[in-house]
Amino acid sequence: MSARVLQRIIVRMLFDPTLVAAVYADADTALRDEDVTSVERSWLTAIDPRRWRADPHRQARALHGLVQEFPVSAAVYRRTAPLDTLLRYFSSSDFHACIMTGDSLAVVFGGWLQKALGNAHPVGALETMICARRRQVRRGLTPGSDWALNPAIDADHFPFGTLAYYDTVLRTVSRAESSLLEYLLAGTAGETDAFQGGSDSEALVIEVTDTGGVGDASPELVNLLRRLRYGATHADVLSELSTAGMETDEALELLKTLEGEGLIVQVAGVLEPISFV
Amino acid sequence: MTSFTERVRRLPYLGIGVSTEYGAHHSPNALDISALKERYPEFSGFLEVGVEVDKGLDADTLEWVRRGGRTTYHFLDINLDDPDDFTSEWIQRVLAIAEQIQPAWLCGDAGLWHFGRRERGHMLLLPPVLSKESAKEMADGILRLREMTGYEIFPENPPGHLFVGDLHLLDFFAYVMEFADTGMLLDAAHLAIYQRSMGYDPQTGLDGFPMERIVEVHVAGASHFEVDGLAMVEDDHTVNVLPETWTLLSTLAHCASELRAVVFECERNPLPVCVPGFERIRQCISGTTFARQVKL
Repeated sequence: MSARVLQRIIVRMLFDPTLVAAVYADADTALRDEDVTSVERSWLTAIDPRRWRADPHRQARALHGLVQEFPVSAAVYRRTAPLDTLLRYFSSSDFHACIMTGDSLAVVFGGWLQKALGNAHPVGALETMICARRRQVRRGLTPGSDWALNPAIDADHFPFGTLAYYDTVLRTVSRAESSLLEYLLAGTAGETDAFQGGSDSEALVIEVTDTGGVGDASPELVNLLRRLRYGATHADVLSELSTAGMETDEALELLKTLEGEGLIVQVAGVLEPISFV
Repeated sequence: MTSFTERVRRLPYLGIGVSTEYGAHHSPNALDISALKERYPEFSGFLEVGVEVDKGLDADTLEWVRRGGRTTYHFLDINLDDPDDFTSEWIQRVLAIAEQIQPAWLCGDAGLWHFGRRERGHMLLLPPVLSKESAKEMADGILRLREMTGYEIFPENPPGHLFVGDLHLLDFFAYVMEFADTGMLLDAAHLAIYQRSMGYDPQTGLDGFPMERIVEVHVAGASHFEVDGLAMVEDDHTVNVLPETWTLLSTLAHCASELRAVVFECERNPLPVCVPGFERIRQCISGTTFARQVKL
């Protein structure tokens, strides 16, 4: 296990010159939380430090790939900061934790960017959801669940106007004659309109499928889908729909419809398929 | 399970071949493998197909196979030392691709092909940590993949600009081969670059190395660059082969009693500039058992 931990530290050092400097200054302190021996730490500093800089474009290449998945968030970010400041991601605790845990670099970048935009800004959260569903990142279902959200689906409440703003900025970015990166580097990206959200909220469903997209839905539907994000038993779902005022046959019909539309799924291997008869 | 010594006898002699990756032969000035096969059959004994299962096989590879060309499967997406990387989905896709190209064996760099999950943006290639513990984990992965696929699995020494650990690269792979009872693909260019980066003589570590386990050898070009005054070498698959790579090829070809295949990794260079490299390979292997077996 120690060798694989060491390998992950090497990846972090290749992306983050500040970690290289810290390890060379005092490896025991810089890596005190990592499960590697002092001998293994010494291997890291036995190398000429210039070798860590053999690929000077590693960060920029990785960032290029990441912003492709967050075009709107990146354009919003550019309103107030130069694009190259996004390279700070590779020195962030989010990035380092991501490499150690094996999570998705892009999804974690989305979370970091969301914080950089200010957590109140909705596009970071929206694009991070899209990014996570594109990868169908596992959510960790509650044991015993009978129903769950389709892995390609998510749903949430956002400030009013989020979808319209997202569509507008995305259209502007997509219409740019240059590549996304050139657009973001150019001065015009700094002129992206600010988000003017209302105090009300809007309920959105994110569907990362061939025919899907981001669309609005009723708050009740989004509440149900959110409830199923981490799974629920059949009895619990029926109980909640009953509390919301539905008769049992109406609730069963709704579940059947949502399953037919591919929004929710029966958790395989937990129960025999639920009969709607 | 029979021993490597017995298993290797059943492996075909493939001769001199070329490598490819998805779309490589459609890049500007790329090697035309059809023309190579037609005009230089002696240098196109097989196609080493670099495979990322997410990309699959390109039209050139499928055409090569359709015309009866022999292949080896070079994986580009498995961390052999990580049991979690052997997902059933990945294995199924490997088997499906192998079914299409019927490779003589599977091989590939025994290093870190990706960090975290296998997805866009996570791909890279780093050498393994050169320790005995790491060699054991790598060997376990080779045994696992051999069992799952039914093919021989030959690890390759990866390229790199930095190497971490307390073992010489060749000692590391000697352990891997011993623990997994397997052979290896020795990349002479990668080895030459490693020896240079460590300040060793090109032949350091070959004394006592189990040459009889070398099944395949790679040759490729390299380029020089500097980082703040430190001279470094990049394995770039041009035809500018380092002098010590040629020396290593000669040594390996004459000592590797079970050598079955030599690849010139020149897939992104036009045929006329590749031919002298192929000729030099023929010259280096001249007089060996391998050359006699493949009638070169």
